[in-house]
Amino acid sequence: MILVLCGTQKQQFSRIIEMAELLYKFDNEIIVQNGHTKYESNKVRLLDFISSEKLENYYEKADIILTHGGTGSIMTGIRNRKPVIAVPRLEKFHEHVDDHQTEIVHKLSELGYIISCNSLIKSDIVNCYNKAMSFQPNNDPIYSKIHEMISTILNKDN
Amino acid sequence: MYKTKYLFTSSAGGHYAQLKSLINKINVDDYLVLTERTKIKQKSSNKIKFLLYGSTDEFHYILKLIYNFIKSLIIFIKYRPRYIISTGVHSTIPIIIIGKIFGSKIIYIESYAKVYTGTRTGKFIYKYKLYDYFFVQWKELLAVYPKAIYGGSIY
Repeated sequence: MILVLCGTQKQQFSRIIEMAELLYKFDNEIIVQNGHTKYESNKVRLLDFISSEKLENYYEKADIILTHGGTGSIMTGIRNRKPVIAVPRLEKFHEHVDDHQTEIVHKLSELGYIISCNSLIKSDIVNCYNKAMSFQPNNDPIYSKIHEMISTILNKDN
Repeated sequence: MYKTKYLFTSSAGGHYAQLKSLINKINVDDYLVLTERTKIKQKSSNKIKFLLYGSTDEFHYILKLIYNFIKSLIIFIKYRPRYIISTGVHSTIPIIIIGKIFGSKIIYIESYAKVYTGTRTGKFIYKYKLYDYFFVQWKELLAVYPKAIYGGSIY
């Protein structure tokens, strides 16, 4: 099963669903949290918005996560140890207010945690799918001291 | 003087995911969450308050900003948080400004999504020193915010 996440943004992101449709020949169970993106398809199942509990179940069941470049979706995929393919929303297609999603997608794919997809060539998704089938995500924990640091601040004058 | 210890605030989406991750991992009670309402069903709770969801490219954004400012002011007066912790972005600016004026301690955490450049909100908060502690999640961002603290990933 392929889980596709369009994000919570109001801007449309139909390109990622068009790309997902190209994977129908490999996997005919494609579940899409399309959010605000309007789309009709007989190849994928569109679920509008899903509660986070239900979404967590889909993450567990999915073989591959195909997501916009939002950190919530990407990190949930990594945490579930799934191959994550990320397609950044781009400003020039009015998918976001800027191109910041390319930053995190570039960085995390450089570090080997996810696969970055070239969204300008839609068929690149097929290459990414093939990569994902044998992808071994980087297992190193990402540096994180921020919770301790903030706890220390918050507990300082209690 | 303070009625609530901690107010955690963020926009929707990834910012809210980062806020939840922070709250889950640090051990605090007596807190309030202020975020944007989206169509995702949320368990109702008296610990969570909602602002209007807004995107800065919307025509009506300025009206939403005014609404959110007034709502933030009402919430501030009612709860008087000692600390305001924000994971960004724009919809949290009103409560940060109000908090800064009335003496709350502000902790601003730049989004995990930003590796090389800051958010407009982050730059605004930094430039006008609307923070007491400014965290970045990527080392690369110290070039943009030299006085920030590098804390690593919030996830």
